[in-house]
Amino acid sequence: MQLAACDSKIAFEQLVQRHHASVRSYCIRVVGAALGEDVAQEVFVALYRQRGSYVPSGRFRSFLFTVAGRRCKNALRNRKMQPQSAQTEERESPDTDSLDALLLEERRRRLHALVATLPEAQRTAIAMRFSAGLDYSEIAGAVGCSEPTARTRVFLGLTKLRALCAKRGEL
Amino acid sequence: MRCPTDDAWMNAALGDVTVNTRSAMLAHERTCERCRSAHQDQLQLLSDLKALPALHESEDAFVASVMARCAKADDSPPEAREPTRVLRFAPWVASALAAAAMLALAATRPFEDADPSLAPAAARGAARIESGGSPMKQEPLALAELERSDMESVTPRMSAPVRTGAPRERPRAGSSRASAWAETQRAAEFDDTDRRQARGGSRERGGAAAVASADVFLARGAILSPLAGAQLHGGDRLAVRVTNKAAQRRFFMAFAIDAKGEVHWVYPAYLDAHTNPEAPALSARQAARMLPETVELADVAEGTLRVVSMVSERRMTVREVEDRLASLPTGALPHVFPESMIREWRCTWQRR
Repeated sequence: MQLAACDSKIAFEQLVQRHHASVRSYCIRVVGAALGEDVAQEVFVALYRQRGSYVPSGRFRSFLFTVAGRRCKNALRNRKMQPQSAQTEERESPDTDSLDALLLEERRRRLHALVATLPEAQRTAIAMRFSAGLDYSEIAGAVGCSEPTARTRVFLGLTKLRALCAKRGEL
Repeated sequence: MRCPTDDAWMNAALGDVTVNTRSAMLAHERTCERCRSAHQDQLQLLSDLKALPALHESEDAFVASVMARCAKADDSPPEAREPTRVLRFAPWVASALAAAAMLALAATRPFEDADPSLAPAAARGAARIESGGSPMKQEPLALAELERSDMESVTPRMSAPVRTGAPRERPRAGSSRASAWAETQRAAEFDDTDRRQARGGSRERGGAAAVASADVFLARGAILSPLAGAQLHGGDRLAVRVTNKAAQRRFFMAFAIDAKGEVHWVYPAYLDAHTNPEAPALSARQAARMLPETVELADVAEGTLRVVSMVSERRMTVREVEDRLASLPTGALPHVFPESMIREWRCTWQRR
């Protein structure tokens, strides 16, 4: 990021290549498949615009997901939409066609629909932990809370998910 | 050891227990059916949560789009920030103070000092300034900036459904109809030996065409944007970007299926119902490039539009694809073309 701040486009491109998968996954999980890709692009463009004022005072991934979290929140607010399941659209994987794979796919689709019903703090923490692969300290840095709080949010979210799944016979 | 609670199993699945506790729990799990089931459920839940969502754009396409938008950001002024609450009212306060000052001056100065020509002059000046300032026009995301080298010869291709002559026999007439495109200039193959680039070791990981892809974008004028979730209408065009990192050549096709199930061909062009065009080829180790034509769809039914790209090892024909699509029961494309790499973008077609 410091190289990118010095107007190195190659460095910024590498930055995008390194982090795009986790950012896209996170955005798709939070705002839905239709908007997620676009919001993820906006995250990197915002990062690019702010590169001159970047101060490496903490973990870069925390900073990146702070930007991502705000962009997702703005997208949800501006378009007055509710978070959608990320997997409302057909998946493109052509490699399996067994019944088991279809069932697995369907179960995951329902699970992510349930994630969308969680409170925002827990939903964000779970998306950062599992979709983006952040550790607890990075989540804490991104959302501005303590590490134990981040851990608690993930745990509470999972507990609620487990209860919802059990109620609907998913588990 | 007594049966751990579900929360304890959750902590264990998250790795938030000590090594000794975890060992004891796992030892207990081997002897307790209920705990084994609970633990498996927790692991399954985490595994499902970690499953990545379907990404509609390939890595290359995504990075290219981001870099193009960044290049555009360099040219445009920085984003206007919303003024703070204090600054938001500053113009009103300044105006009020200026008005008060003017009133005070008018009250203290004799009327004959005033020059009546000044006011209209000032007013005219203000008018000129207002009319001279054009609204900020956002520069479009130029196709050429995304693929500067490849987009020099982009050709807009107008569409006109061609259903002339006797239609060929179709086993399921009406379920699938070909739309063909005018201005037929098209290369049958996109072998591009001049653009071959040495790549690293083979990254092919099984699958028919895991390292080759065809990405379809929405092109509005010179603006290029992702297709997924977009609302399309007449005048919108489709642009296709292809890449093939494999050591063997691949074949690709792109088409759209509208709400009535009609097939609109993008690549290859389908001009005559008596012909049976074949899938264009992608040469081995071909770097990503935009194809030289953008395609405008015509006679599209209002509603959901599924845009599909397909890359395969075998060269297929339009007729073969349409026949298979006609047997499509529920839209499960990967099951209809198991040998192909399918990408699908769902969008909406609206009449203007």
